[in-house]
Amino acid sequence: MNSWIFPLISTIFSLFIPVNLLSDLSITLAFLSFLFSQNYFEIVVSMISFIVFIYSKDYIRKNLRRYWFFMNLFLFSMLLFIKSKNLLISLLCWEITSFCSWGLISFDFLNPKARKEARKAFLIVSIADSFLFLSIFLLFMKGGSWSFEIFQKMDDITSLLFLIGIIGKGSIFPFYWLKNAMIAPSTVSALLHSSTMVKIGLIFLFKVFCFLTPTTKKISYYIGVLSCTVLSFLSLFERNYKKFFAYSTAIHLSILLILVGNPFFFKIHFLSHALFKSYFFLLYPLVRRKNMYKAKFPKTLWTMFPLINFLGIPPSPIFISKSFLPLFAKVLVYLYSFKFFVIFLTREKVDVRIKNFMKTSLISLSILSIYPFLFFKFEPSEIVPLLIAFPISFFFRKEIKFKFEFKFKVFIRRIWVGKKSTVIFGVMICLLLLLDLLFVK
Amino acid sequence: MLALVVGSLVCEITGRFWKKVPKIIAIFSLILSLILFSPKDFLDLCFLVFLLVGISVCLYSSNVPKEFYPLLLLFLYSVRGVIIEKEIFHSFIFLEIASLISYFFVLMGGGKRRLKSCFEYFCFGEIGSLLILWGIALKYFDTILFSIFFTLGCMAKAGIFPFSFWLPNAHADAKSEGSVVLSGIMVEVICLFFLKFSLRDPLIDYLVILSCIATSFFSLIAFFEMDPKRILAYSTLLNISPIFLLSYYKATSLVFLWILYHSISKSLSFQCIGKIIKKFGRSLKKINGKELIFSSIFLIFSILTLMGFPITLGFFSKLSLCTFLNLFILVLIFLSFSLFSYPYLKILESLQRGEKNVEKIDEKFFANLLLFIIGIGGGFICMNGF
Repeated sequence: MNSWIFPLISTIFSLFIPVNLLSDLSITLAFLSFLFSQNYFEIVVSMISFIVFIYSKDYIRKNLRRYWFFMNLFLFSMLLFIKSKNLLISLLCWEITSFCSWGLISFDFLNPKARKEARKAFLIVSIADSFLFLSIFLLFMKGGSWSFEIFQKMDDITSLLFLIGIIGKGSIFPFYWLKNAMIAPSTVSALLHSSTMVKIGLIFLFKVFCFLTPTTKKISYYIGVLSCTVLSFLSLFERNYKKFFAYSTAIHLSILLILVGNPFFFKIHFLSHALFKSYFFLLYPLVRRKNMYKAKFPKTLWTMFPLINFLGIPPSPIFISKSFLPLFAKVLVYLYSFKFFVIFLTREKVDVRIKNFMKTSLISLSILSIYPFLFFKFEPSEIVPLLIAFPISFFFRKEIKFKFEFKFKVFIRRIWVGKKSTVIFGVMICLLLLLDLLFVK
Repeated sequence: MLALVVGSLVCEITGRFWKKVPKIIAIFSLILSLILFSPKDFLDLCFLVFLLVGISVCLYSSNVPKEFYPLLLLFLYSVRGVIIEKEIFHSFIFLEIASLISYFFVLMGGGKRRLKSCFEYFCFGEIGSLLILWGIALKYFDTILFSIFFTLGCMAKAGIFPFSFWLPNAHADAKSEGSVVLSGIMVEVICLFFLKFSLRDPLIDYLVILSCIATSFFSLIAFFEMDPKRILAYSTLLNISPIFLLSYYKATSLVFLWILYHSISKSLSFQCIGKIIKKFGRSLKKINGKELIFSSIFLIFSILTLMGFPITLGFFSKLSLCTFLNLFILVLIFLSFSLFSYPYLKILESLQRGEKNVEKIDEKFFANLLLFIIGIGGGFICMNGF
């Protein structure tokens, strides 16, 4: 019995059955799909989905049919994609996940802003997908079949086009669209935009990485490093809780892009990231404020384990994953994560009444976050960037405003930058680059 | 073809006495033509697609002038003439008859807006015809001049950049039945005419490639549109540029695949949007798609096909481009198609609002079902074929 059959059944039933039965049916069938999962990625995806579905029972109050339809359809397409050995089915599932993401970002479809952000996110993914599809079409013309064997005929051009498609889906710089997706409900952010849908490209890349040309593998490494660096830097000035974690997701996806040639580290990082990121997105409704600097965090002990994974400090295996980054990128990655840690430490903690199902999900994710600790290996040299970043992170315990206006025809964005801050960070980055050049292996 | 001519005459005569009889006779003539028709090559298969679109539009049509049915049959007869005639001038005469009838399809229903759009279409169409005629006249003296004039003439008639300005107005302002015929048949016929008689030349290569790519990106004006019919009209521009390019390269089988994909999906989308607009008006903000559930479902299917969703005809049409075009052109065409997903999503959003079927409305279910079945069937055949 394949695991994807159960979410398919719940997708079909979600169109007809009474609304009050939708959540119970979806949770039951998600649990069954978890039980029948065989592949590593299937297990992770179905497990996270099951936990998020449980949370949704208490969290989602309106547009239930739409929500459960898209969530079940997404789970079905994700599991079928992982299982599938036929490229045509894989591409079909790939597109279905994009549509589910669009449908869920525009969950509150009467809100024009939600619809606009959903369209923007879909557009960016669609642009990247066009390169992916072109690459697969060219390979199909050479190979003549829809099996994964056609990837053996990859050359530099098809590899590069394929890579562009993957980084677009994963919201890796310069295709960063996750910020637009944060208008979706927290459960959607937790499932799709942190743990599963954004990683579908990396799963695809993991399957065919050995067929990529050496040039493309090098380019993927540099794109990963560049993305980590730029997004870590930008996240230092982000005050919105969800958008900050959106940056964090993209940063970790960039790290996964670098790790994709190393199956052990890739799988462990995949699991750790899925667990802690889902946790922090599901924590958001309890935080009460969008602005992290004014937030009141709930008094919960169980935040400790996901926080350790988020920081990437021992005993989290993410501590070792970061060893694949150059020094300046490592310092910036630690810097942005310690920024949140310092804010979390210094802000007020309040008692929050948490509903049963939401509490169950959060505790489950916290306990499961301990499992990756079993794979930790200590590397003394990796302490250095941590020690550099930690004291600097206290600089960020208060909000830094900086001013820079940039207008583009369709998308308008304003980031405020002040002269003093720009000089300080410019100097810091130059120093880090110099350190890296002097001590590079 | 005899069935079409005779049917046209009978429709014209009976239309003077009875209202509903011409529709029945038109459908009967088209079905008879379909049964008697035996396609021999891909061009004949294109005509088969046009006949099916014709049947669908006849089933769909309501509140049209009595001249609509005889002119539709005559239009299809002249389309057949364009396809089977081997001599360029004879084929051009049939093309002109089809063009003159298509001006009526824009004007049908009256109104200032339609008159203006029809006039623009007429001007560009006749400029195109003039250029084609000059080309034909010069054919026996200088093939390069023939190529230049002939290509420019076909570009003007097909709405290829820089002659694209009339097409969105004409296709959007016409009644739905007219839009189906224009987008689903007329522009494709011009591409088939171009395929049959164009001559390749290195100078014309650049002209055609640059114009087609420019047309694809010109269609992105749809980003700023809130009228769903205009979005679909710009989508016609987007899709006609690869068809025109493939016609220039004489890739007959690929042209057939693209015509099948575009005719069916565009006709279905115009038919569905016609009913929706009739109830809610021409702004996306006012559309509550759930109230017309069947039209919405068919419209979602046609838009997914137009977006190139996997295992639909649109997907295989894009795949077929890779057999023929070079990488740079492919990247630009794929990019333009992916960018156009933004306007399509605007239409899909409007279909999510409203309550289901508040009052019973005739959604012309069977007309849309026919095109839906052809679309699905085409997708399955391509899946096995590829």
